[in-house]
Amino acid sequence: MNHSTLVIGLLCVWLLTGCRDQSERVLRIDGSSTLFPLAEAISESYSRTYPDRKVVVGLSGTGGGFRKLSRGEIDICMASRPLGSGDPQELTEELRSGRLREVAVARDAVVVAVHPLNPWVDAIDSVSLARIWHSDRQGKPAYWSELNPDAPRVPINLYGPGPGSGTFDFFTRQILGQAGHGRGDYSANEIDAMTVAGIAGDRLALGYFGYTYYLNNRNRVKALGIEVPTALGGGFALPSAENVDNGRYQLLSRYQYLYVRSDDPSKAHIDAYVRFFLMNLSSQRLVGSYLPLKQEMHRDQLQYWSRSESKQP
Amino acid sequence: MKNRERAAGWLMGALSWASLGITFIFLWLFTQLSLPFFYQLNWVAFFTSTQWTPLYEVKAFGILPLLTGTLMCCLIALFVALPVGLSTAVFLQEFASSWIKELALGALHVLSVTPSVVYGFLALHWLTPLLQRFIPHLQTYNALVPGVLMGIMILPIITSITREAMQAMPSSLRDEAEAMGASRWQIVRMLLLPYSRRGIAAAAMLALSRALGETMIVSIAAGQHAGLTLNPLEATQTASSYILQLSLGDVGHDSTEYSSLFAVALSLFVFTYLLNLIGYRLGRSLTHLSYLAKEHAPI
Repeated sequence: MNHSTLVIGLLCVWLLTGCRDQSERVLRIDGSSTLFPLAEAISESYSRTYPDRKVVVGLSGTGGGFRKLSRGEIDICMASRPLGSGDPQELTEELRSGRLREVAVARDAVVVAVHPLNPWVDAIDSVSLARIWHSDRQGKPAYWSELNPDAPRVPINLYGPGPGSGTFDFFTRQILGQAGHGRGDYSANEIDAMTVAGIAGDRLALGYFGYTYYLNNRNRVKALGIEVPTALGGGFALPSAENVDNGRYQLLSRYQYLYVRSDDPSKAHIDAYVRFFLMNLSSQRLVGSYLPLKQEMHRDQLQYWSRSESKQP
Repeated sequence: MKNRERAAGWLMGALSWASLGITFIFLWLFTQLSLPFFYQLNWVAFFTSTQWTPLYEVKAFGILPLLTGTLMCCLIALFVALPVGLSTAVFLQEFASSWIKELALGALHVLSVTPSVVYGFLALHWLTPLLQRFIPHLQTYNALVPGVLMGIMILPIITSITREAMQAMPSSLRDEAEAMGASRWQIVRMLLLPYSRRGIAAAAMLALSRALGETMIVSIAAGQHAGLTLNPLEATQTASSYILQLSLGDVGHDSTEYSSLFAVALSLFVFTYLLNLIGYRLGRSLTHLSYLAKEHAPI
């Protein structure tokens, strides 16, 4: 037997196994960068527990993930906001008919922060935030004296995620009433860590980013208290797991979802993955790296996905 | 044999035309792809508006902030690289002993092969925090530090081209000067520098062009804030880093935002070309002015 036959033979074997993998063994996940670290960590332990099953986790933003899901390129989409009117229409219909299922897996809060030595503000209400970020102000800086009469009339240097990000959509919707609205003349960065670095090095900075990045940078920036709705007692609440839990940080907290398409019994492995995901959310390794769901909600989700297990053949 | 020579001549001619052809294909492609952008655009606003926010609610399309951001970073780079590069070249050519020469050339080589992303992170994580201790108003993202690092990046270009021009000076000139009792410094000032003027101008233009297109350093360390400012301590955005930012986001391929990418690329192309043209003219007039050029036209 000469070498080329051997090589071709091996190639065929490889191709065949490759085909089988493609059809049933590989699970494809894509979407929001906020959920990415969590999904990656859980997928790693999933592959370790079930060595014959493979999970590929991608990162193309919530909107990009929904588009891929609608084209059938992935099985699960990570989303840092619910499915909306701007996303592919057929997904909304699938969700209504039950082919597509929405699973809340975690929560997140958007943190508004300033430089740690900033003496002028400790908390901010939504009206001031809206005034600072409104598109009317584009080209005209907002001043610190607007937030605190004792502060000098120096400009506020604004930092935030760029327009491709789900955090940007969420913040602008909550503060300005419509996703994507607001001024464009600020330091935009798709990478939250770069926004944190910008705020940490600029005494006149004010910016916003995801809670996970605040957890790792508590001493580099100062988080501002956010206005609490009067129904919940009013005042201001700092971003923390507790305040997100009791709803006081409502204005800037949100759920993180998995959108799962599991429409036929041959895809039982997808359900198994979701179950594994939910069960491992409370594992020791992940505690403290994200904002968990309320316990009863987590229990309900888990019950739901365990029940669908018994229904399937 | 003659046929062969002719064939080689044809081949080389064709290949040199190819580079010109590729340039024109690029120009044509950029124009084609940026047409949707220019159709919807108020031309006056493109050149006069002081804002660049194509991705936001209030869309403003003024190229000025991007061009001033680009130019500011590049001028800072040139301001650093030209004096340092020139004195390095003079030192290596006239004063250095052979082992220092070898050491310096090795170091320059290392600088020239360092990936620009490394310079970017050096700027963001080392030089900026260091300078912030002395310059209180320096922001994390600014034009000054990436400009300086970009200057270090283009240093080898300036040194090597300038040195080549200096090496081309006939040794008879130096012998004559020495015979007349000129000191080393006099030789540098009155012979070497005037003689290599054109080379220095060419080096500066080449280095500037390289800096104009540099993307990584400015994307990492200069910020993404397209505001019209001439303050090097503030965040800015260059044309190249806007192109990178846009192509990383999930902007639809048939949108005005997407074609703005090519409009910026085209503007950068034209801008670089104009600067090169000015540099070329400048270099030529320098040579004409040079009193030495009449007798010893270099290159």
